[in-house]
Amino acid sequence: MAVLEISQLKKSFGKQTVLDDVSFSVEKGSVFGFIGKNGAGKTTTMNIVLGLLRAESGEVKVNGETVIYGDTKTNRFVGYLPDVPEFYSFLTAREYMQLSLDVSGTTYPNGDQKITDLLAMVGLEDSKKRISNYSRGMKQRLGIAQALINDPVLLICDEPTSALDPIGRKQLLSVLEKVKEKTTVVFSTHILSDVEAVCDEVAILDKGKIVTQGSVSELKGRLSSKRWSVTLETLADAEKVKEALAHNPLFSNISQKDSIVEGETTEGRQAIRSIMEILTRLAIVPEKIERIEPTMEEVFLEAIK
Amino acid sequence: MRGTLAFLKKELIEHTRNYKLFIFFIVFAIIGILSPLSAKFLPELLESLMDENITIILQEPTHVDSWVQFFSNVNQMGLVVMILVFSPLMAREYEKGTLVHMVTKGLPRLSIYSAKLAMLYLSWTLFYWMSALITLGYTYYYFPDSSTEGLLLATVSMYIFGLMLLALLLLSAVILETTFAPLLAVGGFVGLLFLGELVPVIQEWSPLQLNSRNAQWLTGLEPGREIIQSFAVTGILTVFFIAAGAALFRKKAIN
Repeated sequence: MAVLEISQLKKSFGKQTVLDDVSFSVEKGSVFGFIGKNGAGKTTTMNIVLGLLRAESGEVKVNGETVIYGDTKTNRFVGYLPDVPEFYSFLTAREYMQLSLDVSGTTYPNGDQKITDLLAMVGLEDSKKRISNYSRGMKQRLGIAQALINDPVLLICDEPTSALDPIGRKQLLSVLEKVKEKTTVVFSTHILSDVEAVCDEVAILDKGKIVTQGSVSELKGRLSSKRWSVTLETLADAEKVKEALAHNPLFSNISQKDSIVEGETTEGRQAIRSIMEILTRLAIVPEKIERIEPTMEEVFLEAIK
Repeated sequence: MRGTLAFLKKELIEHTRNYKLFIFFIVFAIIGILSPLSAKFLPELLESLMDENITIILQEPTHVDSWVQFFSNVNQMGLVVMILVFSPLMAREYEKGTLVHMVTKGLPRLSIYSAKLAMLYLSWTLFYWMSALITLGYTYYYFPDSSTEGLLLATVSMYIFGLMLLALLLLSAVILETTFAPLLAVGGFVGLLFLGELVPVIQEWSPLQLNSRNAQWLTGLEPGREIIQSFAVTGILTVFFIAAGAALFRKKAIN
């Protein structure tokens, strides 16, 4: 069942088209990575899903209910963590969590315990310290805790790690790992290593359009047949192999770095077979032959070409 | 309702911890104490400041002078301070994006608006009537034979006028996203009311009568038809400001 369904979404600011016919859906129980450059339209999409912005056309459904601009009904299913969450700095973390619980309309037999548990989960001290004295990382963790106070069906995180240092990022990603057991997560970011770390499914947004979509392994699989590398024992062997491969039309963009020869091909399996034949013919025993798995960065760059 | 009350509680904590309610308490308490005091001792003070060769004849002060001082101080100090302090009421929320968490938690926008309005009206009600009660007490203390004729109408009319200005302040704060623009909008509106006083037809219907004729009713002058008209216009404008603010806030982009 799809927790979030977006169909044919369009949005412009003045003459600039920000979203152009954006459609995708997020299945229950997954962590969905929404990737794009700065200004690609990720935050605009999120804001429309949250009913904070009006779309020109298209439809958004959360948990089967249509999102209506200005109406907050569908937000009872949602938890939201923006890139730089802003809180009422005169409150303590517990007071803010209590406010979040009350405004969400959620009732628990023991709300205080729920707040204690969430603060403990994100590693925040339940003290009298006001939020005005919190670091950015602490605010981000409080952001996650408040987003989960109503046990949301869908957690929307808009570039949650972009403003954090490496330790803060690691902590936040580990919290998301815990969360995904219960809640579907939509995670917008331009930090691709974070996507690899936590996401199951990915959509890449470029110039207001979804240019590719699929699971992380699927997207990598589409590129994986294209790159290869051969590691040889000596520099002389590497030069011989490079020379031999250069005459084969199956290979392109061949380069040599020390005793490693790398290149691209259009047909992965056939290329590896040809490399092995050439090595046999040259009587060279390689240290390693491999099809190089692309990084998410390469997947992303390929998608937005 | 739970959401509205929770948000109102947040407003109360905010204004308490930021000392705004304390500022109101001090200002309105001073107005309450100072108004009868200045009415009682102003003639003596003036006399002591005058040259011995100049003789000024001042009427013996009465309770009316005490209330004249009160209405004047509320107009020139109390309302101004309240509007000044509350002017950034929405701008801060828009600027920092703090409402995003509330709205994305499912809190209806009308609840936010209602809580903000309730905060304004609670503050005005509490501190205005506190100040009026202090004035009443000290007026009885300094002028034991004072009467309360026309006092209810005089104080209620000023109170209603304040409600209208605060409704306009909230409407302006919803529309204008800068800190002091709502203050200027309310100032501009009062300026227009003063200009309207120049035209007799407008004057008859002007809300300004509610905060300028208070002393006359204390002297026993019977309120005429104009006061009903003025109350009606003020009521209509207040309801209009509140409804317009709510409708606009419902469609306001928050991010």
